[in-house]
Amino acid sequence: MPNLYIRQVLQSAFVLLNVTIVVFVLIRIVPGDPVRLMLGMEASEDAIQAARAQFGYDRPLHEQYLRFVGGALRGDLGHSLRFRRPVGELLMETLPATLELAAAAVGIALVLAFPAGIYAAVHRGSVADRVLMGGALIGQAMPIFWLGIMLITLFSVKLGWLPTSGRGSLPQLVMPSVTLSTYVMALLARLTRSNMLEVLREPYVRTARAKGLREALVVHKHALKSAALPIVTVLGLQIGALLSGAVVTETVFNWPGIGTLALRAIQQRDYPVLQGVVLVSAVLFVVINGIVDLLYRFLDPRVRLA
Amino acid sequence: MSGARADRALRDGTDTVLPRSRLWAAGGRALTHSGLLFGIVVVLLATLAAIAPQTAARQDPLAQDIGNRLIPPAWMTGGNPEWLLGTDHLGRDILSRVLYGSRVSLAVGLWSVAIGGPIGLLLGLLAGYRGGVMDVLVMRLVDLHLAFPFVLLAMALISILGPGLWKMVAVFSLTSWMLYARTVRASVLSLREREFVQAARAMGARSGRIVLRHVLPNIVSTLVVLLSFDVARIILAESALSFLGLGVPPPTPSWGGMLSEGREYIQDAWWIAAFPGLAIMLVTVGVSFFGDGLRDLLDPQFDTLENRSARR
Repeated sequence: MPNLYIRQVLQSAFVLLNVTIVVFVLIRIVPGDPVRLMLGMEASEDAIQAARAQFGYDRPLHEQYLRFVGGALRGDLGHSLRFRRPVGELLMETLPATLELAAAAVGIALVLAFPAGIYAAVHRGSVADRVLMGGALIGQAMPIFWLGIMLITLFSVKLGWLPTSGRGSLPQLVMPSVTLSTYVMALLARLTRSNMLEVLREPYVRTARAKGLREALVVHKHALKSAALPIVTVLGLQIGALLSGAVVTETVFNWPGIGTLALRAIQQRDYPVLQGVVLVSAVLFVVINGIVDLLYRFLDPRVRLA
Repeated sequence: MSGARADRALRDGTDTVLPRSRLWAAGGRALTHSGLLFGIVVVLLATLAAIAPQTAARQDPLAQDIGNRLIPPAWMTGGNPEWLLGTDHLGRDILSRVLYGSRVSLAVGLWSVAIGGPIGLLLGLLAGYRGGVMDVLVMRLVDLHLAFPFVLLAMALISILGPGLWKMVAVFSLTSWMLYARTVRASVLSLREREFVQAARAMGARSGRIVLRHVLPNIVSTLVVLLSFDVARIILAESALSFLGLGVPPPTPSWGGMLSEGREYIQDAWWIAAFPGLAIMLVTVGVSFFGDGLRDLLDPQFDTLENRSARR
């Protein structure tokens, strides 16, 4: 058994290693000299050489890479070319905002998607099923930035109920988190429904019914447990989609998270910052999915005892 | 999953091969499958709009007319039938821009899949059938790719390559083939152990022939369904990039770009942002229905009575 855990950790470490290589290469293939970009056109050749030496850009590539990884392990992600501040600091300021937004979105999605999916599965073919699943389909097909803009039009411009942007108060969190939650919510609802349908056909559910258990008990105690498990894995894999969605959502609502930071970094050609954002989001994904995999092994007796 | 599927196929006596008679039956059922029909209609309309927007667009999508800026849609007070869906901040006709905007979305969606699909198919076949180093390599690439948020990775690549339609196609096909390769590999792995492949091998067929004649025909339908879904995903991603200002540069109309312009005028002119958004939604829903319908028709797993009733 411990072998499995060690394998899991090693696999994650291997992916992380490759992530650092990709991120490192990404910033090196940028056309133009980052140091020249930072100092501006009128900088003297001496100043450029000095800065290049200061940031280690004059070293051979493999040495630069080792410095990059070594720095990253210690939390040093280099310096922003525009803000003249450590990238780590910028990330520490913006990451909590993104995590808050993502957590709220996942919370909303879970609270609404599970009951919706279960209800649709139990009442398969009913009007409610069709409405819920039609809604889920639209939720998955909708560009979330469009939803965000339409929500602003309705609730901020027309009704004046909610603030259009910013972070700090609960009303400011409502629209961004609802916007970000739609995709995950739609996906989870459809998945819950199909998993439930599958499980409801299993022999042990039939047995539970044959024993004369109430339908509610059958659904909630017997079926839901095994239907919910695979969803944990899917949710883990959706972290990437969630972070992608966060980039767009943050832009619409001026939410001060890593998405806004990444977009600004791209607009200002601040590549070390972009590198930091990409690295951190990839690390988040790998770590969370590593935990999800371990959790899954722990939760599912079939896998645990296999 | 694949094992369970093979079991089910055995139990139901269905196989993944589609004999010709079944294909005809599938064609007949396509006409009665309302979801697929809806998908086909939407896809055809969008294609028509992309090929010949001038047939329905009454205005030049780039022609500015400052005297007639921010005119609401025709059915609202102050609207004018000349501009059915109103005009934007530069007095350009929204309907024309939405119609012409379909070109960018469809071109990026279709080309990315057309380039990424064959690459994914080829590498998935190699990884699944040959195994070994190829398999390890492809699967590690998939793992690695999954670790990066799709839009963020595309943003980073575009910021390096610079904006433009073909650069978006390059980025999306580069970042999508791994997903196809993974699915193809999984199907190949389960097919490789099936009786008819074993039989072919026992009769001395060479690998190339087995893959071409026995494995490939059984994968095509899965891949076609996957690719049609992916067109929707890429169209959404393209609109997000365009919205963030990383897509096709203005003044070329693109749905995401129009949305981003419309955002500035949300206080007095909601229609600038609303209609391109509806267009994106309609096309992605249509393409998803198309993919869903194709799966119902092509995938025998959904062809059983049990499943058909389950889907009603």
